[in-house]
Amino acid sequence: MIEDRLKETLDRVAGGGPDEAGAFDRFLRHRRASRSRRLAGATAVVLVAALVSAVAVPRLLSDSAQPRLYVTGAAGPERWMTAPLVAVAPLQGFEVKVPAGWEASATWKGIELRPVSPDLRRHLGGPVQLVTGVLEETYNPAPNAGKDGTYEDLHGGEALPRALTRRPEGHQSRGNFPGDTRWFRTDLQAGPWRTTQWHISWPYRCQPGVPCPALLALRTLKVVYQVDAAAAAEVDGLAGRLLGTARPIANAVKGQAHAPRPDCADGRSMVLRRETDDSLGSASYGPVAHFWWWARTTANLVPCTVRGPLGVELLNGSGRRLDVQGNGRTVTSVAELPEAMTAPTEPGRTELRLKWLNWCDFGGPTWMRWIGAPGPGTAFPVTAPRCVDRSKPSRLMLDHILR
Amino acid sequence: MTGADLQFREFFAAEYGRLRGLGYLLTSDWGQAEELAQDALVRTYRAWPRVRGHERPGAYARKVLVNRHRSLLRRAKVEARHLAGRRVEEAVQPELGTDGLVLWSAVRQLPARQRAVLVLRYHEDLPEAEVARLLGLPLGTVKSLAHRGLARLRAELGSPAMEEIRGNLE
Repeated sequence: MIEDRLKETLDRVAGGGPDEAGAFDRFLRHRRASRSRRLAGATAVVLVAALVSAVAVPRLLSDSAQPRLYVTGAAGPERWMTAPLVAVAPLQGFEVKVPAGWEASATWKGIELRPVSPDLRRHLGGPVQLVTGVLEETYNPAPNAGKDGTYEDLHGGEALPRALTRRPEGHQSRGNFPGDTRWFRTDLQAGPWRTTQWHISWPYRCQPGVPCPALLALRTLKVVYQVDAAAAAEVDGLAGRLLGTARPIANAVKGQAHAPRPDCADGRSMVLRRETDDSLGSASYGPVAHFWWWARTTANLVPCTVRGPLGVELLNGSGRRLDVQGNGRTVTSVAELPEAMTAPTEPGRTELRLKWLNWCDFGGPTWMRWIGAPGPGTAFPVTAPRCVDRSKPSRLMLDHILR
Repeated sequence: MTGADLQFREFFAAEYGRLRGLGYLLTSDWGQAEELAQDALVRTYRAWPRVRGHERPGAYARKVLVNRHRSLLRRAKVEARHLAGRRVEEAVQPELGTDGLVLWSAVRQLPARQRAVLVLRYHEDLPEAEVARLLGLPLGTVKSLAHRGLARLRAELGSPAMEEIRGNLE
């Protein structure tokens, strides 16, 4: 009867669809967005609608004639510019003046600085780094500095995952720069070298209509360097000047446009992992075999986009492609990697999953090779899915992209 | 987390998939289905102090979803917030046999009200009176829509267009 067939079909259709993982996180985001919309309806919220490139948005500093070093977030070779200059980093949300006597180079996470003088350079263990990071509430000089009512309250005392932030090592001190910007500093002495980190709280403003996860309230701008006693005073002075005069721009300013996102770089702006049912220990010769990429943001909180091509190639024991529809399929544009998730202490993550169905050729072993980052594409054995219907082809297809 | 929050969390885990599936049957779009389900659950959460005592709180959430869908149909536009900030998901094909795909294709071509009646009758297993209440329609209209919808499906299943679809799948 058609009624029975209809019911069966509707039930199966409704039971399909993307993986439900992350649904409650999305609910929390949805709830906050709904609350914000209701609040915004009661107050006149004027948003900047024109999407001007973020590097054009920051106000010019008083020395507007100085050359500008732009930080785009892309990984690349060092290119040193001689100061005085203005370093503009919209992805990190800061603009700083670099004084004469130094050179600066853009990196994927901020800027690096080194003395012009080779003599002074000898007293540094490496370039001085000015980057963004995350610092636990206990140490953060002004947690929730960017709080504007759209952040969830951090649960007091809940520890952030160690992978995201580390307990500061060394002697700790606190103070205020002129203008009352609070700082937190650690100094760790090892032999002749002192490793110093200065932090100031640095806001992150999510785009209009996007609820801001709690973790972003803990963003800091920090200077990190290693010096010996001969250079300590000069580099300490530089660090103080950089942090004391840094200006928030782009994603650190409410209502300003965010910079275009570069591609994520594995091991830098993201950590990318690949798994199969076999590697997870869940291979069971069931009807489906899965292949995953998991990407997670790193402690520098540099916004980026996960881009492929990412894919899988299914092979026989001789290295020839198996007769599977979609074999070698790749996904190029995966997802924008969120800076953080809605759970208070969760870093941003995304997931791409492929699935392989209905393998009915029992002629030999099945192997696979990853296509795309990270690492080389060496083939290895993989458990094939069970044969379900000999009359239908085996297929490799996109299962879901979790954002 | 309060007891009420825990209770809601359990409710969410039990109802989310079902609500999203219902949303998909009504819209044929997983993105819209997600939006409808999350919207219904947010509204249910707001009313949770009252709703949690109901015998069937899931029915409340379903009613909210159906009302929302009707409202969207009336306005005939997708909420801007469904598009803003949403990353477009790649299509996920449900695992159906040939006949199932043919039948689902026919359902998707039904007028919105006929489709809603059939989905609520045969997927949600609701009696016609309940469907009438949910959709704000007279009982007679619901009976008529169901009858005409099934007739249309029977006709579509035997049509040359459906034969072509079958041919493409085999």
